[in-house]
Amino acid sequence: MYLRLDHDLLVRSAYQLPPLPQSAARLAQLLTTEDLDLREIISVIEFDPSLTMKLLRVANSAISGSRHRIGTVREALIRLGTGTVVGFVVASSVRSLLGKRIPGYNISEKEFWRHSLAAAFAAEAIQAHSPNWSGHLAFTAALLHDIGKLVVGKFLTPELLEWLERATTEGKLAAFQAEAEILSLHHGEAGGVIAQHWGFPDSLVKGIVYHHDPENGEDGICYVTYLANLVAHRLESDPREEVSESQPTVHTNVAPALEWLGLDEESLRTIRADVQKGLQSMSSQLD
Amino acid sequence: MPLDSTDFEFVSSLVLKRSAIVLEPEKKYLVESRLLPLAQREGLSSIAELVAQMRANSLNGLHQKVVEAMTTNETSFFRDLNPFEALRKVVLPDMFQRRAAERRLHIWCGASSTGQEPYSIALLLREHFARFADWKIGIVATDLSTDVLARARLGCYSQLEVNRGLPAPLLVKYFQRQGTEWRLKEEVRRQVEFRQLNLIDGAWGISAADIVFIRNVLIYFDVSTKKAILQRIRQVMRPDGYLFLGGAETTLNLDDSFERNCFERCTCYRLRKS
Repeated sequence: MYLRLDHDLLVRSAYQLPPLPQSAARLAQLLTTEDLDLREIISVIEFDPSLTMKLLRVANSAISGSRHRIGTVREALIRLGTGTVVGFVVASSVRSLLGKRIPGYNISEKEFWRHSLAAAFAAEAIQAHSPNWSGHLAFTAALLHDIGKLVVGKFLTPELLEWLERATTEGKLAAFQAEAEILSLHHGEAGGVIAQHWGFPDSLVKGIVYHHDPENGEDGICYVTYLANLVAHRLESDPREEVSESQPTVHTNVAPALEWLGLDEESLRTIRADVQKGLQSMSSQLD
Repeated sequence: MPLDSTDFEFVSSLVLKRSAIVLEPEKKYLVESRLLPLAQREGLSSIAELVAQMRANSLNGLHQKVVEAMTTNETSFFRDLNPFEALRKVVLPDMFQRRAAERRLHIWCGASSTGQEPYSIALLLREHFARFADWKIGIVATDLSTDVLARARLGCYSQLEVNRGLPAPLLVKYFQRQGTEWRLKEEVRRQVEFRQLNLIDGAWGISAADIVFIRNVLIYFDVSTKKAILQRIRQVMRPDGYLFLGGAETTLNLDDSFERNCFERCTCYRLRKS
C-alpha cells in the first residue's frame, strides 16, 4: 500500500503543465506596480489578436445589461478595471488546461470554474470595499486559488482519499488541514508551485499558497483570497465553510480577515450580492 | 484491520512521553495512516504486530521509528521564524560583541536533517552581519542519517521546499536553478560543514560552541537520555553561549544548569552563572 505522497514527483508534474502565453505572466507583472502603465498593458494584449478578440467577447458578456458595447481593449480596461481584465486574460489560457473532471477531488470542470470565478468576483468586491487593501492582482489570485488541485488530484490514490476522508470525518479537520496532515502538503502549496512555473509575481503566488492560512502569508493579498474563497463557498452553500463573524465554526474564524481588511458582516453581504451579479453576467461563459 | 483501543493507548502514551504531543482518541486514523506503512517496511503484517514487538522489547530502535512517524518532523528554511529573529536581533549581536577580541564564532546545529536550518543561519549571517565576514565563523551541522547528510551537502531543494520559509529575495540572490530544483550557491554551501554524529553514542567532536541549535530532536528520547544529552551539550558549550531547543522542548526538570531566556516570542537557554 503506497501511502506517502512523493513531493518531488508532484513538483515535476506541476512543471509539466503547459506554459501559459508569455503575455499572461507579463501582464501580471505589470499589475504589481502601484502606478499602472495602461499603454503598456494595452500593447501586451493587442499584440495577440486572438486574445484581444476573446477578451472583448468576455468583456461584453460581463456588461451584458449595458447598451454601449465595448469595442477596444482600452475601453475594457476602463469599464471593467485592469485587474479584472488581466484576470480574464489569464482565465482564457488556464481554462483550456482543465479536463472534464478534476481527478481526486471529483469536481467537474464547470463546478471548478464556477467556484474560481465566484472567488475572483468576490476578491474584486473585497478590494473595492476594503479601506485597508489595494492591489491589482486580487482577481487573478482568487481565480487561480485552487489551481493546485489540478496537480494534487492526480496523486490521490483510493487509499490516500480514504485517509483524507477519515481525517475530515473522524479528525474533524477542514479539507486543507487533512491534506497537510496526510499528504504533508496542501493544494495551496501545490498551486504556488504552478504559479511560479507560469512566471507569476510573488504576491500572486502568496495569495494562492496561503488562501487557507492567510496569517502565515505576511501579505494582504492572502486575506483577500482567503475571504474570497469563503464567500464563494458560502454562495455554493457548502456548510463546512460557513462564513460568519458572529458564529465562527471549527474551521473558520473569519474575524481576523475582516479586521485586517477593515470589513464587517454588512460589507460581506454587499460583497456577496456583487458576486452574484458578476456570476449572472458571466453565466454564458460558464457553459 | 482497525487499530485496537489498547494498542492505540500504548502508542499515544509513548508519543506523549517522548514528544509531548497529545493524540486524542479521534486521531486513531492518523496512527493507522502513519504506522501501517512503517509496519509493512518492518516486515510485519499489522499495526497490532508492530505494537506487540514494541511491548515485547524494551526501548529499541522501533520505538524511535514509531515516534518519528507520528511526529512528522518536517524541516524548512527559517523554521518557526522566532529563533532566527532572536538570533538576528539579540544573540548574534551579543556574541559578536563578546568575541570581539578573538574574532571567531562557532555555531553547531545538532539535528540538521536536510540542511535547511544551518543554511538559514548562514544566509542570515550573510544578509545581516556581512561586516563580520572577515571573522572565522564555523557552522557545523550534524545528523545521524547519512542519507540526509548527503542531501544537505548537495544543497539542492525543490520548489516546494524553497517555498517553505525562504524569502523570495534570498532565493534569487543565493540559489541557482538546476533543472526543476534550486541549488544553493557554493559560497553559502561551503560555510557549513556537515558531519555524521550520534547524539546518544560515541564522541561528538564538538567543542567550545557559542551557539547551539538542537531543535526537535530531544522529543525522541526518554528522560534519562534527554538528561544525558543536555549534560553533554553543557560540556561542549562555552559558558556564555546560547542553546536553542524546539518549541515543545525544555531543559526544565531535566538540567538545572540551564536557565530560560525569553526574547519576544522565542525561548532560548543559557548556563547559569555558578
